[in-house]
Amino acid sequence: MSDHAATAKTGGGALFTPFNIIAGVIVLIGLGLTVMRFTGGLAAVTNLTDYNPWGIWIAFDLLCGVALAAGGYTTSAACYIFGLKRYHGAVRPAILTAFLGYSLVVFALHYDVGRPWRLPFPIFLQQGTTSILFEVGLCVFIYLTVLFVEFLPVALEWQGWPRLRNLLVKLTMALTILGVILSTMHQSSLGALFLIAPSKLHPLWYSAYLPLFFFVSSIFAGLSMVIFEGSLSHRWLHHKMDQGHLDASVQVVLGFAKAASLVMFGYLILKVFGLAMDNRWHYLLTGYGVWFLVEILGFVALPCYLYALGAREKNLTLIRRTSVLAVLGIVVNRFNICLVAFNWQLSAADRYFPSLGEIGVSVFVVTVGLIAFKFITTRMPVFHEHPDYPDHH
Amino acid sequence: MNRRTFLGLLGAAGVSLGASSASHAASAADVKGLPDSGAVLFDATRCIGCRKCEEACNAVNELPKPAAPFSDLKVLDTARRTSDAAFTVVNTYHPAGAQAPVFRKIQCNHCLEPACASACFVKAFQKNESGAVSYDASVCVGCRYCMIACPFNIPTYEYNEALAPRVRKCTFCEPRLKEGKLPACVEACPKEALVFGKRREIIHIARARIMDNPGKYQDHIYGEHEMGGTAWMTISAAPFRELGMREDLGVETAGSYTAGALSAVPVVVGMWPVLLGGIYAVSKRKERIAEEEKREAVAEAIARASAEAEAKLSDELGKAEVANKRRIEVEVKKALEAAAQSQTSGEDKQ
Amino acid sequence: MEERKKRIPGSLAVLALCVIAGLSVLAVRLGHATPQEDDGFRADILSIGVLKDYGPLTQPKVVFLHDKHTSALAKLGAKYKAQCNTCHLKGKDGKTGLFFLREANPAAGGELKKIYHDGCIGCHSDLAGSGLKSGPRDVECKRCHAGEPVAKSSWKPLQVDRLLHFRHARTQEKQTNPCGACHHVYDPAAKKTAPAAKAELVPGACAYCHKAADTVTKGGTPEKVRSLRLASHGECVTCHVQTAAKGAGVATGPATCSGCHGPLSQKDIEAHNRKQVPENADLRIQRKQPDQTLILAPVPAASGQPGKLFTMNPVPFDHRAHEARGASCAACHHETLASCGATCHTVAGSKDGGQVTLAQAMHSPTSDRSCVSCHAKEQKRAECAGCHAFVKPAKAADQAACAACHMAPKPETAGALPALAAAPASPARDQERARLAAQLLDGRAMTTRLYPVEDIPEKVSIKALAKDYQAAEFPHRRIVLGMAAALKDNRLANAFHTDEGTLCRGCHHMSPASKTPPHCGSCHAAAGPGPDGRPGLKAALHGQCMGCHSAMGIAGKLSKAAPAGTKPVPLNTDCTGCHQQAKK
Repeated sequence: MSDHAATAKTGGGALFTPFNIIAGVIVLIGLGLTVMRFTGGLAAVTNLTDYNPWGIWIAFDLLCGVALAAGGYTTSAACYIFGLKRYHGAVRPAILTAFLGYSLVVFALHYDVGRPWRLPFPIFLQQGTTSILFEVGLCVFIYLTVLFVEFLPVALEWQGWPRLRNLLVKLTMALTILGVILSTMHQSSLGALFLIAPSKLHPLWYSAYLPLFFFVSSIFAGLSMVIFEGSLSHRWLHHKMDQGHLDASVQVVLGFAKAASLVMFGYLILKVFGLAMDNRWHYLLTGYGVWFLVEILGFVALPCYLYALGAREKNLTLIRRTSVLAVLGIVVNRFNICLVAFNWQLSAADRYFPSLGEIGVSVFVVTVGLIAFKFITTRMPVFHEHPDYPDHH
Repeated sequence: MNRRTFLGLLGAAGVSLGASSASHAASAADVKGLPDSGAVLFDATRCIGCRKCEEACNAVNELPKPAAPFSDLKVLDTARRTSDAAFTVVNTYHPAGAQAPVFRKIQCNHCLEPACASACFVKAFQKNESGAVSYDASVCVGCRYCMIACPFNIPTYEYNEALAPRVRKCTFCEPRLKEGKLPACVEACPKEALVFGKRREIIHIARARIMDNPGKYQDHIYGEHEMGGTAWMTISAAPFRELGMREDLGVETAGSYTAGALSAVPVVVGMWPVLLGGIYAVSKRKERIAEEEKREAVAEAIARASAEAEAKLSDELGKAEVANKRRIEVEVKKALEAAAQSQTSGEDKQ
Repeated sequence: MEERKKRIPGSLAVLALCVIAGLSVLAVRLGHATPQEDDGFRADILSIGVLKDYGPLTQPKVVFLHDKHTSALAKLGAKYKAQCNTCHLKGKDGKTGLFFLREANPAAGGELKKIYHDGCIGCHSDLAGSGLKSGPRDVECKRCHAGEPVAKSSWKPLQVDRLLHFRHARTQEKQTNPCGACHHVYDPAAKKTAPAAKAELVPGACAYCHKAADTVTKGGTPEKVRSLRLASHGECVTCHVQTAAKGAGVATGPATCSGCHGPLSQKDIEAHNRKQVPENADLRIQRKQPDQTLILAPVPAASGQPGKLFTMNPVPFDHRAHEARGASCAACHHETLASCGATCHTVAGSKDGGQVTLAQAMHSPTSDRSCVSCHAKEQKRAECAGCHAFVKPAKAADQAACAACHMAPKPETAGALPALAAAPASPARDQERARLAAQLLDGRAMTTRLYPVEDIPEKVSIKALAKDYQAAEFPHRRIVLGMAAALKDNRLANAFHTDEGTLCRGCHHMSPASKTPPHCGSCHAAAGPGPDGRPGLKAALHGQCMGCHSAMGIAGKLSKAAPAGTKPVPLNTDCTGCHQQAKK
């Protein structure tokens, strides 16, 4: 027992594992890029121009990061608000993913924004309340705090602070509701960001329903991400999972697949309504239209169908593979709105493609997240119950 | 909570939803036009593409000198846009059917309801009484959402600046306006292609020019209503789209596009706790009822089982008693027989 | 497990098929119907929707390409000798009708539909039966009923201008009644049209009677007048076809749609016209019209004021000189050859004239047949535009502008004018007017006048605003004389620039003509623009000079007439071309 506790505290294992080496190289590159960014400005690292002020740091790190971190609120809502106790085992990993996800979003923003030390300005100094971005910033700020508080019991269990831990656990219900409220607002607001530029976004993607589309897609993004992260963790962190978690994981995969399929179906209906209400059908026969259909049919309709099939056949492998497709679909959707369909009317010479530096920083950010995830899950009771707290609810 | 309270809260939330339609941001009908704010009219028929305005702007704002001097007019052949070293540029256009090329000056239009001001989450942009949309670099975080929002693609960014990058755009020469001087470009133009005045007067001048020269100008003042109205307006002989000006921007202010989404925030904040709390209450109730039913079923099962057991027991006891009695009888009989036997054999001996 | 694995690719295949099917339906619905003819431009596109007169259409209109069919028929020469008469039946009078396989529209829509279907589909089926490529047949409704054509129409209306008229008139000059070949009049007694007996009896352009659509006026003479389209095709095309039938090698006009209405053909016709018509040919359309006439408003003499005519001075009008300016008579006489003010554009306006008063008809700047608008169009030419781009249209109070046309009658004839004005139309009246007009026109000076050369400053040094640049040395006299020389032969210019100060006012504007016009800076403030939008001095000078150069298109160019060593006109952006840089 004490051995287990000891290794649980330190993680144990060799230092020069393949993961550590590759991650280490990426981190070194990332640090180099950081120096370049803060000595040479954004031009030294990015391909951003005056026509294209937002690149993949916004499209991927911010938009995709926030969408894919939606697993936190969806899982905790399913478990605590809807009372579906069988998903309990997925809550902590989802909250961890979400917490790390949002932290990375803020971390990546420090690279993208011109003066990151001024990030608190809109909240504490001068509030631009007409701005959707203000609402995003405020909600993300508060939600990150909520996630931190939701995650804290895990760390407290690890460090052995029972009184504070028990107090925080009592707040779970309130924090979950607050989390759903905040998530609804900022997930939809990320879509609403683009409402202000109807002349710049392709009509197939621009819609008054953009906030709704972003919110609904964040639901199945989160669900898919939980399945995806779960399958990765099963592969690489199996040894950290206790029997209870393993038993419950099948239920989680099947249940989430069913739910995601349903929500995706609803999303497709909404998309059809969006096209019909704005009478956009004739755009479907253009090049952009084909790409739009690929996004909708290949990356939403197809996983929707496959999830349903997998759930009915109880085919876990199919569901896990489909979750990759679904997660890719979210990335494709956010990239489409932010980079592909944006500025669609500009000439090819004025369009944007990410530079190696930008890609490098994004990879660096994700790697930092993976390192943190590995660190936390190998030490703290995320995939297993801490023996001192047998039924953590 | 009890059902009545829940329904009451739901009703209140519904009323607030309906009432929230009263919250709308400024639409074109509301924008009064700021008639006395500063405005400039650009007459595309007067511009000769001499770039004196670019030169003056560069000097007044102490911008870095460009590679090619301002007297190099070949530069006009390439389509340029504003940059962090050029707040204004002049481009050449060749409208269909025009004998001579037409020139247009591009700079911040100082909209009445600027998209940049609506988009900025630190209120770094402000529309002033002078007409200028000013930028406050001391609060700017550098998120560049203003560049996304501007329908005219005007704001530029100092991407080369590492620690203090700013958004750059035409300032309407506000310091000069305060001194009663004209903006540098307006003063420098040898053809008076740029005319500065109060917005109301500028619109009158533009209308007069169109009326006095029938057939010469397009019967439209670009910027009078576009995006809710701008301070810098253009009149032209060629159709505006042939001058690279978008004719599909509409008359809605940029802020009105996001007003709907913003007005949803109080609804979510008000409704979601009710909704989610209600779902939680319903699911908790279901759990509780399930628990109760389970307990009842268990109790009933126990009761039934014990009753059965009792019956069986008394049955067995009865049976056992009978069996016992019988055995006793049999034993008694046996004993009596044995006793009778021994008595008979004993009597024989004597 | 294997069964399950098999179901996934199977169901995916079904899904893919559904998607492809859906997309193709979408493509067919949204995209254009599969094109049958070559895309591009055609001048022969007809839209057949006659059934709309019988009730709402149940099918889209038929897109019919006329030239395609005539050329196809021509290729089938032997089989379809009848050519046009294959579809357009010959009437009782031997003339080819213009309707398709019928003399007139039947009473019932169903009958008309049958005529078309049997006619078109029948012919197509016949041809297909003979193994030839043919058009749509039964069950291919939408191939004919396409609604919108795939090709774009390049159809242009054809105008018979004086050149074309000359060529046609020439073919008839040997006839006893040359005009009557085309021009006819309606004989109410015979209740039909008869060729116009002589030139003076020609009513004028076809369009005077034949309007855009068939007109029916109850009790009118005639009651029914067919549309211009039917009339022109009926007369022109049939004549061309008949002439062509006389034998190969006989020059005739086009018989196809694109032959007259295609833009390329119209360019051809123009070029051909110019080649065919000799240089000094008299293109005048003869109708015994007057060479000159007096435009005098038909106002009855005021009662109680005998001898006084309450109207503007009469306008002596050189009709002959003006005939050479328009494409044809219809350029000015747009409804009838009768005098403008006789019944339509009366002084007070009348219903016949659309309530356009005589003054409006003569002076409207926006109509394309008033005197003023035509002169304004001339002012847009390069040699005039330098000044006239800036000259505002004359206002009613500008006496000098009116006097160029409204000439005061000679005193000895002034007394006769009231009677002349009131007199009804008659040859005698017309003769008298012509005589008076000739009198006035003969005495009129028709040269551009200038002040004496010594009064025109040779050089003007413009130094009012000299700061970054030195004074501009302006070669004033050379430019003035150069412009006058360029206008030497321009009759319109000469008619109007009769006052010696007129030409000066092109630049020295907004002030009376004078040998010493006010300095520009008297009205244009050096500080900047005025509150009414009046340009400041710098802009006024630059605007005037550069504006003239741009309007005349001479920036950067050198006039052929300029003396040797003259620099070309500076570009607008060449500052030092006009004024040297100031010495530091």
